[in-house]
Amino acid sequence: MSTPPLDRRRFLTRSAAGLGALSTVLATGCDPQQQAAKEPVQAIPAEDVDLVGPRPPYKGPNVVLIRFGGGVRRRETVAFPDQTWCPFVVHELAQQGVLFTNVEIANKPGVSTSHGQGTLFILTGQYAHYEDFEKRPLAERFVSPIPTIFEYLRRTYDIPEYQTLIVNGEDRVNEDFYTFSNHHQYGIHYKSTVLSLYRFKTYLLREEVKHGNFSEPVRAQKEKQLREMEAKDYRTVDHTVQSPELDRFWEGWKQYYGTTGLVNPRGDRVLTALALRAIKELQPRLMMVNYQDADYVHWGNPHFYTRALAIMDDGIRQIYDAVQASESYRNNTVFVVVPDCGRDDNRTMSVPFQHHFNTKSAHEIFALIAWPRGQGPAKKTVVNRSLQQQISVTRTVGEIMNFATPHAAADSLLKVV
Amino acid sequence: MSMTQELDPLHDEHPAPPEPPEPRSTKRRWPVLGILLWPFRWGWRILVGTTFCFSGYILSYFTAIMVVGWLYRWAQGRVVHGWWKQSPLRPHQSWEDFLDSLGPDAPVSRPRWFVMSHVREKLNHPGPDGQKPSRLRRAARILTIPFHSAWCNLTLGVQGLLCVFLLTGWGCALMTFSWEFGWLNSFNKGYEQAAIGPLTGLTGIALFIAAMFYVPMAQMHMAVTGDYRAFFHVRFVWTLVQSRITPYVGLAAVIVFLALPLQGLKTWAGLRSGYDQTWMDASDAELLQLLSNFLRGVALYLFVSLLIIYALAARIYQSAVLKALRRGWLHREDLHPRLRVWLEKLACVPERQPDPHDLVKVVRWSARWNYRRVMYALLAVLWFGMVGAQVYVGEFLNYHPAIGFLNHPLVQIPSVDYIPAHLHESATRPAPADPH
Repeated sequence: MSTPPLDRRRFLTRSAAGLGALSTVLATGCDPQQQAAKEPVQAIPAEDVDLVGPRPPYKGPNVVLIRFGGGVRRRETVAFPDQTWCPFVVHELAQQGVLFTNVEIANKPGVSTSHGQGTLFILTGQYAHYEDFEKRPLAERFVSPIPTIFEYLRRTYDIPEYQTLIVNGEDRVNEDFYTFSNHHQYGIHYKSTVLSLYRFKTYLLREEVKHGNFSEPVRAQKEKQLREMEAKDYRTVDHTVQSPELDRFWEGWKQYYGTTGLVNPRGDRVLTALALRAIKELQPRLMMVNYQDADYVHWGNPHFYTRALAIMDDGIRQIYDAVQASESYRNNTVFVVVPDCGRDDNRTMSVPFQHHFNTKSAHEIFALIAWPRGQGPAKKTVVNRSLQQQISVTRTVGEIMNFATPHAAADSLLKVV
Repeated sequence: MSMTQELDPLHDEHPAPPEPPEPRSTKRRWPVLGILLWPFRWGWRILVGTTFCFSGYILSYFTAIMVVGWLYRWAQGRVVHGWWKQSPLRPHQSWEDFLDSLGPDAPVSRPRWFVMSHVREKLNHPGPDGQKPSRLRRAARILTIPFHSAWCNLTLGVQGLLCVFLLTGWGCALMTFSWEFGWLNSFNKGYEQAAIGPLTGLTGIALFIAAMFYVPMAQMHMAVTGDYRAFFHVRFVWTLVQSRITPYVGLAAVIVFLALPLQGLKTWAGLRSGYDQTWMDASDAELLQLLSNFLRGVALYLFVSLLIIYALAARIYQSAVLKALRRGWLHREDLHPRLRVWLEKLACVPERQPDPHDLVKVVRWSARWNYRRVMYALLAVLWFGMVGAQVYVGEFLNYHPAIGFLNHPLVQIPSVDYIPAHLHESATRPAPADPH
C-alpha cells in the first residue's frame, strides 16, 4: 500500500514545530540548570526513596558514648565499689543514672569477645560473626552489613557529618573505618567522622602535598603515601573525610600541638584531648570515644590494666567536666558507658586477666547510663538481677535520641528501669 | 665424685699402658637379680627426679638443683662406660671391677639420690695420712651414708648451674629487661625510646644463642670431669664441638624439639582454668591441687626429656674426645687429669692418625670450613627457634613474671613450678573462724 502524498501545509507546520523544538533543545543544552529544571523527574527506585528528602533538625539530647574498652572485668570496675579502679564512674557518674552490673555479650557460636567485634555489636545492635573482608589471618578489617547508630541518627535527622564523631586511638587504625555499614539504605550517605591521630597525619600529608614545595620525586612519594593512607578504608577512598570544619579542627590542633606527634597527650589521654576539643569546636550530637589501653595487659604486666582503668576514668571525668562547663551541653547530654568486652579470669595464670579469649568472664561486662543532673532517677540505681545484653545499647541510644533502630535485635536498657 | 681431688700427672707424662690384668669373667655379679630390680631402680630414680622437678611452690627451684647434679653424675658414668665398652681391656675386666679399681670417687652408672654410693670403698678409704681410717673417722663416715649422694647432687648442681647462668644469664636478663621495658614504654607511648625494647631483646637473644653454641658441651665436660673449672676450658670444649659438629647440631634439634611440648604444656596449665569446667568450678584449694597434679605430669615429661638429652650429650662427648685425640686436634697433655687417668687405665687413648697428603689436607680443610659455617647457621636458627619463637610466643600466651625469660628448664634449672602466687596464697590462707 503506498503512503499518501504529504500535504504541503501539514509539512510546513510540522517542520516549523520540529525546528522550533530543535532550537529550544539546542538553546537549553547550553544551560544545565535550566535543562535540569525542564527535564522530567526520573522515577526513584523504591529502596532509595528515603535517601532523598528533607530531614528535620535535631533538637534532642547529646549523647557521649564511652567505649570503656580494651577489655575490662566487672571485678576491677563495678563489682566491688570499695575496690574500684574507676572511682569517678562508680561513685559520681553512676549517682546520676542507672548502673547495669549484669550485662553480657551473648555466648553464641561465632560471637567473639574482642574489640572490633564488641564495638560493632554496640554500634549495630546485633551479634554477628565478623571476619576480615579479605580473610587475611590476624587482620580485622570488618564490614558491617547492619547500619550503625550514626547512620540511623543521620538518616533520621539533618545532622552534619562532623557532628557525629568516633574518637579513635592510634593502635587500632582498622576501627577508623567503622563509620558506615554496607547496608544499601544507609551506608556512606549517612556516615560519621573519625577523629584520630591517623586522620591528623592524613590531613598533614594532604596539606603538604597541596602546599608544599618539593621536587618531583619527593612529591610523587608523598602522593603515593597519601594514597596508601587514604586507601586504608578498603571500601572507598574517603574523599568526604575532608570538610571545612574538620580542616579547621585539625589546623587548630596543629597550631596547638605542632606536627611532631610528641607534644600532644599520648595513649588514651589523646582520645580525651580530642573529645574535649571536639566538644568545644565541633559540638557533636553523638560522640563515641573508643578507649583501649587496658588491652596492653596482653603483654603480661598487670599494672597496664589497672593503670589504664584509672586513665579512662579520669578521661571520662574530664569530658564530664567539659560538658558541665558548656552551656549547650550541661543539661542536655547523656553519658552511656559500656565496655567492648570483658577479660578472662584464669586463676592458674600469673595474670588471670591477661587475655579475653572467649571465656565466661570475657563475656561479662556492665553498662551505665547517666543523665544530666536532675533528669535521671532520683538516686543511684543499680540493676543487677536481670541479665542484659551488650547489643541493647544500640536501641537505648536510639530511644534517648528518638530515632528508630529497625535492625537492632535487643530491647532498650531503659525498659528495665 | 670428689670436688677437691686433684691428680698430678707431672711425674708421669707419658705412662706406659697398664699391664692387662688376668682374663676374668666379664659376667656381672648377680645378673638375674639386676634384671629383676632394674624397673624398680629406674622407677625409683624417675619418681624422685620427677618429684624434684616439681616438689611444691618455690621449693621446686631448690630440689631441681639436685636434679642437675644427679644428671651430671649420670652423664659421667655413661661417658666412662662408653669408653670402657671400646676399651681393649674389656674382655679382661668387668665394668664393676674397673670401677672398683678407681677407688671411692669412681663414676657410677646409676647415681643415687640420697644414699652414699660405693659405701665399702668410701668407708675403708685411707685417711689423709694414707693409713687405714680410724674408728672415729669411720664413724663420721657412717653418719654421712644416708645423705651423702644428696649432698653430692646438690653441690654439683649448684656449681653446674652457676656456670651455666654465668654464660646464659646475660642474654636471659636482657630479654627480660627488653620485654618489661619495651612494653612499659609502648604503653606510655614513649616514641623517643621505642627502639630500646626491640634492640635489647634482639641483643639478649643473640647473646643467649652465642652461649648455647658452647654450653651443652661445656656442661658435659664439667659433668664428666667433676671439676667446675673444666666448664671454662674454652679451647678444649670448642675443639670437641668442632670435632662432632653434626651430632652436636642434632642434639640442639632434639632439645628444641622436646622444648615445644613443654612450652605447650606450660601454657595450657594457665589457660585451662578458663575452659575446663572442672577447673572453673573448683575452689582455690581444689584448683591448686588440680594444677599441682597437672604439673607433676609435666615434670615427668621434663625429667624423661632430660634423660634423653643427657644420654645423647654424653654419647657425643664420649666420641668427640676420642676423635679429637685421634685426629691430633687435642693431645694427651690437653686432657683433664681425671680423663687422662681413666683413658690410660682403659688403654683408650687413641694413636694419632698419620697426617694425610697436603692436597687432601687442603681439600678437607676447605670442605670442613664451609660445612661448619652451614652447621653454625643451623645451630643459630635452632636456638632462635627455642628462645625467640617458643619462649616469646609462650610468654605472650601465659606470662610468668621474671622466670619466663630467665629460666629455661631444659637448659637451666629443671623446674616446672608455675603455680601463681595469688592462687597459692588464696588456697593456703586459713579459713575464717566459724563465728558459731
